[in-house]
Amino acid sequence: MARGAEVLVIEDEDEARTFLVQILEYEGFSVLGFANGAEALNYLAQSEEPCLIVMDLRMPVMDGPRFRTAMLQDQRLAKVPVVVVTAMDPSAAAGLSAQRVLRKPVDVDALLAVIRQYC
Amino acid sequence: MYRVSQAMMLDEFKERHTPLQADTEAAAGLLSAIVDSSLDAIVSKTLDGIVTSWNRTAEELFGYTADEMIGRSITTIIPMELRGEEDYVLGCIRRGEKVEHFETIRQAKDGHRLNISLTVSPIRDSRGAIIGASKIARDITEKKRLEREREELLAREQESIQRLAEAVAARDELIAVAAHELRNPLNVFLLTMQLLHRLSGTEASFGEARGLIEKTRRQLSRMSTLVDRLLDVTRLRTGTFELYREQFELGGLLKEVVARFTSEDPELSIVLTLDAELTCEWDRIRIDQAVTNLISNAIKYGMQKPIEVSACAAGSDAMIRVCDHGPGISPEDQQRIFNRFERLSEPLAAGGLGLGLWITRQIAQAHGGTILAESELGKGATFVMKLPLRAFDSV
Repeated sequence: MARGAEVLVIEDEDEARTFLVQILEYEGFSVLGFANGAEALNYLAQSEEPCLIVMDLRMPVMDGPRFRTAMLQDQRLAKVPVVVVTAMDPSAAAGLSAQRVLRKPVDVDALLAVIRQYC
Repeated sequence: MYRVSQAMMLDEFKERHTPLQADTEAAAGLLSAIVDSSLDAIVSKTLDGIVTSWNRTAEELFGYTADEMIGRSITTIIPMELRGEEDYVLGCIRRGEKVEHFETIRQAKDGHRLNISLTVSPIRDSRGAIIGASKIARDITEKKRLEREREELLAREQESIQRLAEAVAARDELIAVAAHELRNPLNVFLLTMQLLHRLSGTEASFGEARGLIEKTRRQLSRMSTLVDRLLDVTRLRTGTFELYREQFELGGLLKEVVARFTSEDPELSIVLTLDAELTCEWDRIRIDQAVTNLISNAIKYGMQKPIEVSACAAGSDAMIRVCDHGPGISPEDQQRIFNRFERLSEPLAAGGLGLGLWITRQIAQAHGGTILAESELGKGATFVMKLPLRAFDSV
């Protein structure tokens, strides 16, 4: 794991987040789940940057685009690759400079392939 | 035969048309006949606007006889507010100019107004001096009426097109929102399957797998509710929404609905208060659906605080109240939340088709009842549904 040890999953839907975290853990990754961008940003302020972030777009408190904007403004976090997983049209992720945009229901194999590339 | 009759006609012509005097008279008579039989009003006037001739159609159109009009000013038939036009027309004539297809309004003897198209030309004497004007007036009232009718039709058509475009846009939005809303439970469903697949290769406990299957069942029922709502929209729009009334006791139904929620999530706190036994004759499935929608909303927006559900008699109505202690609803939002595809404005938006409250109101109205929201920002929200008890009084 070149960049860092963890994969972050930011998803407001409890079950979707819990299951994705469990699947990624089963695949051997160290994973942390957050219910919105603000929680994740709070964690990142006092932790090492993760190897990759999987994030939803539509979330309460701080949504995906606002979280990504905050990330890009921080030199340290700007380099962290992001995969967007959304139920919305992929065009909603335009301008977020994501490594990959996946639509829900998420293709787990495709997601794992991107994660393996960076973690 | 042919030659003979042609020769006879020629003789007759010569007989009639040889003397010059007779010729001029005949021409004048012919001209007069043409003017009189014209379907247009043909009038002549002096440069001061005094009428000098007035044909039969002018008599019919304006209701004044030639005797009445000859010697009178043409302004007799010009509405007061348009009299300035006559100065303009006479000005053109004095300069030797023709006024063509001038659309205006004239007033008949009985006061009714006509749309006419005027063509006015100068009349010259044998030396070429302008001595008056000839005026041909065509009644275009019918043409104008048809034009107005056409414009109105066009406007109505554009209005319909606009309404149709709005309906199509609303439907497109519904499809987009529905796709989005179906993708979320579908996502959880697929992730559960992926997880079960991985667990099946391990020594995971039977209980863990059973828990996952139960969660899948819930996601599927969520999808099924969404599909039902979409079907309801179609039924409500096409007017095929029918009530199947049956007699039941309201308290029993409310207990059932509340139990369904608390068995799904044992941490939920729903306090049910029933005043008296209320026997009603409603569509049980639809009322179940309406109350379920209200409680779902209370859970969605209630910030995990206790929810109160109550039922009591209010005159000839039954009153069902669902009260949450969430952020409340602003007065503007209270107005629009019952509309189709409306959700609370960000940041309170919690997804959904934006159809729940709209369907709930349709159900209340189909029963002859009402629903309204009572709320103050920061003080939670109470939805009050009143439904007539019909012939059944509270016991």
